[in-house]
Amino acid sequence: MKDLKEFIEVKISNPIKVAYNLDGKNDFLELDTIFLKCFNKKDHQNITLLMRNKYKRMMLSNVSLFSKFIDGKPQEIKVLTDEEEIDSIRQTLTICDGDELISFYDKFKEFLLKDIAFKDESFKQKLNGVELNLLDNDDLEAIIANYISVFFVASWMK
Amino acid sequence: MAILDYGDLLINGTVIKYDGKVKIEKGSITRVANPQISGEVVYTTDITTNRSKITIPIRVTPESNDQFDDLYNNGDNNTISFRDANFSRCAMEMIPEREDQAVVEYIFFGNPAV
Repeated sequence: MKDLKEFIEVKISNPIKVAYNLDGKNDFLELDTIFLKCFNKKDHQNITLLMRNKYKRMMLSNVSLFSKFIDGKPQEIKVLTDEEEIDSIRQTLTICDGDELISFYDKFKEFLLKDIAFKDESFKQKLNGVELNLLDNDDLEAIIANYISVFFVASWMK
Repeated sequence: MAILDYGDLLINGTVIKYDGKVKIEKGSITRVANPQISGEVVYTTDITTNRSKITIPIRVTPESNDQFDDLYNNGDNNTISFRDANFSRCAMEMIPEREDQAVVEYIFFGNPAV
């Protein structure tokens, strides 16, 4: 069982220009790392439930991919490394139904803006909606996949 | 005109709701042509225009007054982003006369757009 982390860092491949306060000085920064806090039940219960439901519906629509049986033969269930798990989630997201995926991404972005995504490791400077929309699709996908892998997958896939 | 909150105006990373049209002068060096008697025109540069000017229309409320008072007190320690243009070291020119619910213009001068 994975140790429960309090936060994770996700490096993005296309840095975004954001307003940043460094030691009291306001300036712009090419941000290449997003800091993500673990959710809490008090503030995020409803939205995490909605996201879980959307994610499960998306996964069910791809149920053939998760079949343990191919050609009638049982397949060995492989324990994935963290990196393989993230990659697996990313690959699965890319083949989900377009409308469902967009709806899930929108809900996830809404979630990230609720004191989850930050620009600094001391979690004082929140990422805002404008800055979140500067992320390119690959980086957003990486952030979502990393977050699901670390904080959600164990409870969502029960 | 309604108060707009498209999220396209940020000051120090905070989205600002404005009421009207944001005016931007991105700033650049001015090329000055100096004619000479019996000679070619000599071009020089005037760097005094190499600064940005951002005019933001805001509806006066106690909240907006507090917000912009803080920005004034920051001196030039403000960053402004409007759509695809970013301006650093922005200082508010002055605090305008404010009447409740009226729309006033806050003017900032800063570094040229990046």
